[in-house]
Amino acid sequence: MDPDAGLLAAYAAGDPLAARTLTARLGPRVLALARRMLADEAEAEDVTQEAMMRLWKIAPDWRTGEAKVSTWLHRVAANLCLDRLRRRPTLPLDAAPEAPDPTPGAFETLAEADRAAALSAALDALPDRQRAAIALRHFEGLANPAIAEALGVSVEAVESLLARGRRALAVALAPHRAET
Amino acid sequence: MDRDQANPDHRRDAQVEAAALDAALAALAAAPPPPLPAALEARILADARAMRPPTAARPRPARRGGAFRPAMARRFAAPAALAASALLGFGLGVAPPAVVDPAAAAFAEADLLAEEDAFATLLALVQETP
Repeated sequence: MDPDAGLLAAYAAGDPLAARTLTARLGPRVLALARRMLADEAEAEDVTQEAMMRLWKIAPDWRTGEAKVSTWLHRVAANLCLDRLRRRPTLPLDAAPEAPDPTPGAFETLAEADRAAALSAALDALPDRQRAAIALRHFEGLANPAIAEALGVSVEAVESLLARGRRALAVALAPHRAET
Repeated sequence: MDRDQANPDHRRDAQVEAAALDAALAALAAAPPPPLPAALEARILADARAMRPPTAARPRPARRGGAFRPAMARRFAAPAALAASALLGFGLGVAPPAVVDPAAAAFAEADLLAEEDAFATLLALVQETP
């Protein structure tokens, strides 16, 4: 059984500790996803609070066994992030800056400890839609058609966003090779 | 022609690079995130307290039927005790004690009010029915 579902049922039954435990278990991952997608701390925190609020609301009606609580919550958070991204002024896809050709082998030469920090920073620096596509693909595990639907673009546009995002990441990480 | 297609070494390097990037993204996704900022956690828990459903209402005994009806027992407990005390008082010269338990009295009053409400509703329905 999904342990989070048990905690949610306990919360719905009035257990005050269940909310604290659920928040500690699920909140950090939701915030991490929101940070990845929005690259804005205040917005990411707002999305996390809103997603958790929806969890509290649905608690009395949660039907155990139909979905994992964590999966449901991540989808809610991803959708909240996408709503915010859609409201941001965006450039047409073709107007997004194209990264120059990356130097081969740049990323693989980074020290393991540096990789996460460098990659995280590079992700934060991506244009909104590229970052959203990468987060949905690699952090939420969505397939390209699902990402296309979520972002309101064609599958080909998603492939382009992912390719551009990955190239931009490689470019952003290239200087780290020179430092090592 | 793309540089990667033209040069097998570059193509192999690009594949290695892509695999490394995939692995790093997967590792980043799997890494435990830092705990929530305290202020955000406080806001979330305040929401949880505000949204918490009321605890389940105390199950009430059936109004009709059933072998044991504690509300009814409570309602008659005080008068019965008073009557017994009065009888004992007359017999033994002892003043009847004030035996009403406040909690029991409150329950009894709530039950009576509920019955009065139900009766008033029923009466209104009867009066409205042509």
